Amino acid sequence: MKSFGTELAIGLLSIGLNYGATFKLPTTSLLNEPVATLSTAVPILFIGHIVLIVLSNVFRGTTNKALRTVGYSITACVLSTGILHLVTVLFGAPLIEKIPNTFLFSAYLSILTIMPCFEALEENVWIKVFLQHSPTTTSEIYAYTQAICALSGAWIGAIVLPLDWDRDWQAWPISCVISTYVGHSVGVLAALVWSSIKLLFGKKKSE
Amino acid sequence: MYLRPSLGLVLITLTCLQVFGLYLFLKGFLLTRQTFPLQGRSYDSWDRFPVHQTPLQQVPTVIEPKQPFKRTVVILIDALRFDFVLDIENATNPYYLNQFPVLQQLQRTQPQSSLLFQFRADPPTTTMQRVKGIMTGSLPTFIDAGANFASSAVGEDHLLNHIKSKFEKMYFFGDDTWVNLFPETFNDTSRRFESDSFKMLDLDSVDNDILKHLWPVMEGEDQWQVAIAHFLGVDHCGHTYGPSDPNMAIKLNQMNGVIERMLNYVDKDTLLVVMGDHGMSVEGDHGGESVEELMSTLFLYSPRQLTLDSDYYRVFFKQIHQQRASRLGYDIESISTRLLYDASKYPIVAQIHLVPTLAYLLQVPIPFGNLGAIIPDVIYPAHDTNTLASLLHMVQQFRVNALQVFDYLNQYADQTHQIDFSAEKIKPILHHLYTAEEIMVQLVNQPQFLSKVEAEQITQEELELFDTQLKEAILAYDAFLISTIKYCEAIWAQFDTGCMFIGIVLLGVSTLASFWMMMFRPHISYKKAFGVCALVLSICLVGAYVTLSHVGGQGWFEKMEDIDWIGASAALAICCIFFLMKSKQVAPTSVFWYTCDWYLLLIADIAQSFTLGSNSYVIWEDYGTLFALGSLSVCWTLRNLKALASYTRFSVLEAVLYPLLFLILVRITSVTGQCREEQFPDCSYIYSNSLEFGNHAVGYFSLLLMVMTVSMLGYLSRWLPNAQFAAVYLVSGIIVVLRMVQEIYLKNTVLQKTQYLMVLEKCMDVYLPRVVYGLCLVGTGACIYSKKYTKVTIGWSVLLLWSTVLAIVQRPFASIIVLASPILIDLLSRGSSSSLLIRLGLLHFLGHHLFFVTGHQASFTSLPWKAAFVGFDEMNYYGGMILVTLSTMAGHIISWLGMFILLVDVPSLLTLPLHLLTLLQSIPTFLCAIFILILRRHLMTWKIFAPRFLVQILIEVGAHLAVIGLEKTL
Repeated sequence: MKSFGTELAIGLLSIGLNYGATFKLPTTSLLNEPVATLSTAVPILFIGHIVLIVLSNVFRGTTNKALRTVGYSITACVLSTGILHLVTVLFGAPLIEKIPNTFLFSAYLSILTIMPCFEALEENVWIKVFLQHSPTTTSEIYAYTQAICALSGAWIGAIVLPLDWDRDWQAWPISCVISTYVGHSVGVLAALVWSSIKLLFGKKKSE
Repeated sequence: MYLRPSLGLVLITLTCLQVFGLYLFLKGFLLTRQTFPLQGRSYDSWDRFPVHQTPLQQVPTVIEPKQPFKRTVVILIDALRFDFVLDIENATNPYYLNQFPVLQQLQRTQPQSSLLFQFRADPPTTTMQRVKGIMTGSLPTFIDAGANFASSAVGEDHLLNHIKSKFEKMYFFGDDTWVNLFPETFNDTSRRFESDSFKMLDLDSVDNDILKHLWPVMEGEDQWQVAIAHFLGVDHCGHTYGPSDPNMAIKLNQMNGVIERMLNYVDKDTLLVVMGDHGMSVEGDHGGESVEELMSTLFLYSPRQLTLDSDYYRVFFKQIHQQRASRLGYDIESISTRLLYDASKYPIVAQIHLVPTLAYLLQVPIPFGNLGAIIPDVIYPAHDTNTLASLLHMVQQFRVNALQVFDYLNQYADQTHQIDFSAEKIKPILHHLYTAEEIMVQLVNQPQFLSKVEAEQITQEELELFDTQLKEAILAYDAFLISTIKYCEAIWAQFDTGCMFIGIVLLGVSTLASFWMMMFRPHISYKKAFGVCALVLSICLVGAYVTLSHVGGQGWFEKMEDIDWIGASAALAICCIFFLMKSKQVAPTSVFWYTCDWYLLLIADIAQSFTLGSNSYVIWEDYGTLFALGSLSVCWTLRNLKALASYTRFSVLEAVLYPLLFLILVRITSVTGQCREEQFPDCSYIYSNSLEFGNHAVGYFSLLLMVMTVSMLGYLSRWLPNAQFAAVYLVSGIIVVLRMVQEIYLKNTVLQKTQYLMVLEKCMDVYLPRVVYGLCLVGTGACIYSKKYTKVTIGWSVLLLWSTVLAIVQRPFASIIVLASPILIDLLSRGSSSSLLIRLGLLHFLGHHLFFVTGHQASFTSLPWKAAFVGFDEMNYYGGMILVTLSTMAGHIISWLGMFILLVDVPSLLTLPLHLLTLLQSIPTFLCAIFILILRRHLMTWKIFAPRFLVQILIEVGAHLAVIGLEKTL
């Protein structure tokens, strides 16, 4: 029961942090200057999420593990930024032009995908959650849905790119950044619903 | 007694149903017109008189026309809507009304010398189609069969052709569309000053460029005879700012100034034609068929008397124009309400009418394919004779025009044998012509008629004796001309919605039947089958009979023949039998993928099909396909990871490796391709043109690429069963590489054409490709008919041998990709059966991806015509067609051959994968047909949706045949 509240609080805090870092804190607007805005937003997000990881460890009373988790998360984040950059290019992002745009987007996506997992997961259950797709505890559910929804959000955002509507937000990677943000938020909500259902109806099974 | 059709029979039946559905749909959809390479000729006024009987000995006197103009200036102002040139009181719009008053001022001061018309465009109102119509006098259709797709050049007789042969010194200024349409006419680069027409935001540079060259030519030494200037500023201003904008006033004022200055150069022997090619909508765009887009301007002027100017003629001309307007159904009231001027004050002429009119004024033959009718106002006899003679002169001109159209109709009927042009069908039209001839025969048979015509003066009574009959004859000739236009418009521009609808129903029902057969085992009692068949057949036939007798006409079921109705009913009956076969498919429980994954693929396929209804997605489909491949690769990875028994570092890496490698290769291939016209300026493919063998970095890169290709051939040949096959494959592959080297080398080197080189070139172009074709056929035959090899080996051998043939008909980069494509198939063939369906789906999209990256696009301009000459010196119709098809479908063919390799391990479980493969194509076809039906009047139909649909048909039929082949061979 305790983890239910903790995860929800951390999830909501990260939604708030993402919102602030993407739309409010940078002095430039995402629609007009995506590169400049993301260059401010990504470091803010990075530091903010590290703080959240520490905070989540403090909430759970595992403060002694905080430093190590932060270390792991930073490594994972940097690595996955590289991998996501590659994957984005493989999906059709321009190879040579707009490298800053692609890179900042992958950094943004990697923070929103990787960091929540480190915030939510208490132990090393990566294979069970992400390779076998079977999260069971509340914290696993939070990690799983946030990561999957953020990735799906980024994927869906690409759908508007070819349309000839001539809107500002169709420029690469604005629509994908916005949809990643929305996807992550949906992930938190989905985790809330999923874990609530599990808590209410699935009690017999888990005990 | 049970009917248990085998899988092969089911597949063949479903294929036939799909093809029949497509046939019906296309029958209703494709508008075609045959063009002829024939030249118009000049007719004697009383040639073949009368045309429907044995010619008479006695013909009326020929009244000569006024001396033709010696010089002509044609000023075409793009998107000059009719109200832009008005000079009216109480102008309600300050920006485009009264800003271009010179035409109306001229008309007021010199009414005998100037003629102002509303110039009605035939949709589509795009500049290229309009210029074509204004110069050929023909109506627009989708396919001008016989024309050359490769270039946009007009393939039939046109007015400029005749003008050029009479007036040598022809100048052209402005929009380069003209040069593309009539390259042979404007072959003299010193007399043409064309500009690029695509820079929409630039209002002035084209116009200023024209003016920079126009005035020097007008004043220059070279005695110009024809000058054509096509101004684009007004159109660009409309696209950028819309008509109601201060910029429009500036542009129109500039045009006003141009015409005023031009008047200085227009003397008694010069004809000035000012016209627009189409109008513009309220937003300033064009292309559709709204009143604002259709109504343009035509203005004819010359200081000499241009029109017979008396109330007598004016009333008569008005009568002709009114008869034309009512026959062609012009809605004058709606023009008046939507464009804020009184449309009944100015006569309306169709754009194609300009062709015979200009031909008359310049005394050149009317182009062969013209359907336009001469504008009566300009007909003017040589001498000021009596009214009777003037009328007779008018009869002559209408008759010449009618004879030309009559000959065209006959030629069309003779050459095409189209039912719509049979004697029976065009009888009502010809009736007008025969009536007119009859009247003239009667007149000629009255001796006093001819004497009266030649008299200096005639009295009012004498005039009245004959003038009614002459006018009746003119109106009858005109009725013939106008009914022909109306009839041809109906045939060439009328979709048969009913036919399309039935085609779609058949496509949908057979797709559903295909799905049904995927789920259930075909098993039904004969009694039931016959009963259902008879029942459905009779219901459908009765239904068809009732529909025919009640609905018919106006684009519904006009093109359906009896046999089509019977066929459609039979097809429905067969589908109903399929639907009654409901016994459960016996699923082997051991196979995981049987219950899963196919719905994922169907969802992906349906999602991809829906993008075919949006022009943006069709334009960017190359990227969409890449995206789909990426997404499915991720699915493949996930499936691999989930199926792993233990998660060691090595096993995880292995699970990720193949999808990743596959996707990386796919992404690398996608740096090349061909840009669609609509993709500019956001399209940045690497072209084959960027390869060369100079001493720069590019040269080394090209060399490296060639070396890589050859070593890749060596690597790939290890899949072949023995050294003979490897040798055959390597020889073919090296010939392909040699041809690449030759193409790259010739591109940036100028060689002296020596005897030796000619022979070498002929070897490279003709004999070496034939060697490849021959080796491939022999190799394939040897492979299939010797019983020594396993099916996997046969599959690989056929794929490798055919990849060389498919590569030789491509451009250099595409050749390398096609040669390398077996590597992609190899990557896809590695994986457990749990991911088989996903890999089949990947293969399905891979075929489409290869289509794009080998430099093809779903548009007519990108058809690879050069492929027709690989191995052939001269154009060989069928050989060329096969080669062009092979070149276009190369990617898909490779994917179909790959399917054999993927499926060869699971021969006992073929039902689901094979039906799935047909479904993956028939669903997009079905949805695409629906979109075409909905969007058939869309602005982009002919440019984007229709070519895509034709490509879809090609893939669909090919995929069905491939699946039947797979079923037979596996």
